[in-house]
Amino acid sequence: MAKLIRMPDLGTTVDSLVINAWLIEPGQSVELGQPLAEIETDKAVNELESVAAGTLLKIVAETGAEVQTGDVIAVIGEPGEDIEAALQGETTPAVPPSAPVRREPAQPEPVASPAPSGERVIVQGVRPENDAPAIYTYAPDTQPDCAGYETPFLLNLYQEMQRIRRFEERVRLLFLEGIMPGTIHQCDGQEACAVGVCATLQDGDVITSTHRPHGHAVARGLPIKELMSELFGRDDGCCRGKGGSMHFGDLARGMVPAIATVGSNVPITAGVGLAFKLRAEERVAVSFFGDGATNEGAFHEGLNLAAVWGLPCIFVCENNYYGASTPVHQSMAAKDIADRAAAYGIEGKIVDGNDVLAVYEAVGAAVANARAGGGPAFLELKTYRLCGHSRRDARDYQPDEEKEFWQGREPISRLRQSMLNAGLAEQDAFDQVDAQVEAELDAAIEHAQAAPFPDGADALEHVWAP
Amino acid sequence: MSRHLSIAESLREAIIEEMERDGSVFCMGEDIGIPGGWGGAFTVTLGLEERFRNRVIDTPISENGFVGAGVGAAMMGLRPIVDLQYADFIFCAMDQVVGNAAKMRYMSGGKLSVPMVLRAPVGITGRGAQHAGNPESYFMGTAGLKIVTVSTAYDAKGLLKSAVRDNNPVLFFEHKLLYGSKGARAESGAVDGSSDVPDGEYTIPIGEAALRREGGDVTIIGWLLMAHFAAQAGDLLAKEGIEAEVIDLRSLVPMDFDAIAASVKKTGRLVIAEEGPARGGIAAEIAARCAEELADYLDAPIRRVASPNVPPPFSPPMEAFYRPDAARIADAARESVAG
Repeated sequence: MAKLIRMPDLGTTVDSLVINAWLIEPGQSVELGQPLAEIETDKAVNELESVAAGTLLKIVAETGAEVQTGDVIAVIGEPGEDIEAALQGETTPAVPPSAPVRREPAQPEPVASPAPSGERVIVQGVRPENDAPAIYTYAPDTQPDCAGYETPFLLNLYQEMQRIRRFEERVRLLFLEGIMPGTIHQCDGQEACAVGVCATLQDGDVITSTHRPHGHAVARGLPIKELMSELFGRDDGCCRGKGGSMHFGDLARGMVPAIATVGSNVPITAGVGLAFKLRAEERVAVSFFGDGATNEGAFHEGLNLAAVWGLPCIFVCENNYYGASTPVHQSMAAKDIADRAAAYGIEGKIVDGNDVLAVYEAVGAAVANARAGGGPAFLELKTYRLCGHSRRDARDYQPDEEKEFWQGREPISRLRQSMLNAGLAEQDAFDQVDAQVEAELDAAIEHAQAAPFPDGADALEHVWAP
Repeated sequence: MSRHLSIAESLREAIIEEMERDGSVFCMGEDIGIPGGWGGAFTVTLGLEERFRNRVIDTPISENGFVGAGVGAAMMGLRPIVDLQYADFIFCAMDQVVGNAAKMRYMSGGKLSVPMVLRAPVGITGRGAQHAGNPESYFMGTAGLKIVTVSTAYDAKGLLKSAVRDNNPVLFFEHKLLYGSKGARAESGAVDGSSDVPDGEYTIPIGEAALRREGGDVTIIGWLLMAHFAAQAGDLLAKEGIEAEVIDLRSLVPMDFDAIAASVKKTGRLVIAEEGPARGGIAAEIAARCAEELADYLDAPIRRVASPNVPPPFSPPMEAFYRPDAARIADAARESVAG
């Protein structure tokens, strides 16, 4: 069935949109998320990503056309499909007689350099040997080892990971279609970290998270409807629409609203652990953060406090090898992040972060030890982000070879394959789970889109505690 | 019955009483819990480490870390009193104060709260530029933080008890010259902040100014050390027949604007004394609000007496030049009355 591709709403302040160039020709096939065209607003030049997969059947808005939000600009479908019926009644954006040409950014006035003191200074770049792209792989020769686990438990892990993956994929589409506000940082490919960790926790335990919190929130058991409502900015979202994607959380459900300043949640986690220790409660605090956070002072200070005070804190580094677009080897000279823990007298462990059972076992041992008063632990989970850093990131900085390697080690199919190999479940069982997940997401999206917005003046509430 | 106490002593008394009243109150900070140590940089927590062995927690020199830990512990229902040693060091923990403590309740949609007190000594005191700041103004625009500024022992005790019981993060600014710290921690050039403190329980609500002197000719506003200098200026002016009304704000957020408005309506003239720099300062905020709401009552331009826009200097003559004093405040009041 042919899909009409419309110009998305790029924000309330955008006045006009122009197609600068088509990047795909009619007849060529298009993948979901693939850049279709370069578009220009009065603010910036952007790439427009495809919200459908198939063949580009027709370009409706030619290069140079001025387009309104919601106008049809192209049609994608099966080759040979009849598209005229679908296009009936749609306006065709026209190319104005004097087609606007690509606007060159205004050249800044040349600024006089400070008067030279004599010698000409040549700035030497740092670490020039790192210019070549690194290929990050991590391949211990093990697969998820299902021996000793009950099938319902394993299926539940599968379901949790699949909920996260499909949550992210559905959200990304909603976002690309322009009907979801804000920005998103997603965790496709990292599901085993969130699920493996949270499966070890009890009701009273508390996690802290980051700007990439969707997986942590789902795995911690926050209701999908509340999360979806929060993303749509609705009043019944988990943070009443005051948090959004980057502040997912609900302390009553064991998750501090996610802290989106990188590394900032690590001292907070120490404080949560301190409260548990001062009250002699057998609870643990778990901090999720990425490789980038371990270059922040807050990370080091938080770890040090947890170590000197012997706090029940589990520090979980999801090393996905990139801080936004910057590869990890350009951010630190240490080879393994786990080595950093030793500086604080904490044992650092490296774990295959794409093997949900390896994560579950390593974190489970650390949690049990911390709960019994054994102090903090540090785990580096080697994983990989199979999506962009944020909303429209095409992740061109990840080498193809690397992407392929990690696609082949993505955690959901690894667990499924291990279970199939071990004869613990048939494909039917996975299909059933997948259908359940999809139905739950359908219901959550429908709920969220129908849920009421807060009033504008609700912005004034919740600053002060009574 | 009452006793005459220094601010350091009255703060200590407040902390002891609150820790005895509520087991969720604890202290955390640098050099506060070392037997044989100083009880913090200004003796406020002296001896507490013996009395509350596990609830007076000495920290590494790690402001970002332990202020963050305070936020985390407060979210979980404890009531930390965090000692920042010098207010200048709050900048090391700025993200925890502004990014987390102030916003966490809001971001959660009102589902949690951060009942934490951050005690921070301010003021230029012969220590050079980095142990001398008055960073109150940095936080005026940060929603979610209450700001208390104490100038007498009586206020210090009553307001600290209110701050500990408040369910919001409270920045509690104290002045190094006003503590009345004794022995090796005594300050040269100290100003007497001591007062009679009644036996037994009392609190002072956050957000209520105190009228230090009544008068009908000109209103002078101050807080912390400047509240004392404003009162001294009032004494100088009285000898010349000028009756100043002196207001000690005691809290900056929430601010007792009603008290300011009532006085300005009476006197028609306003002088604001601020130890920090004039540019972007708290006096600027007060002046703007008075211009918006009280212009009809003003008989002369509002005058600010504040430090110049330079870092706090070290050398004594430059320090004296930098910091506003009673004479300068009195000059501004005379100009106002003459204008």
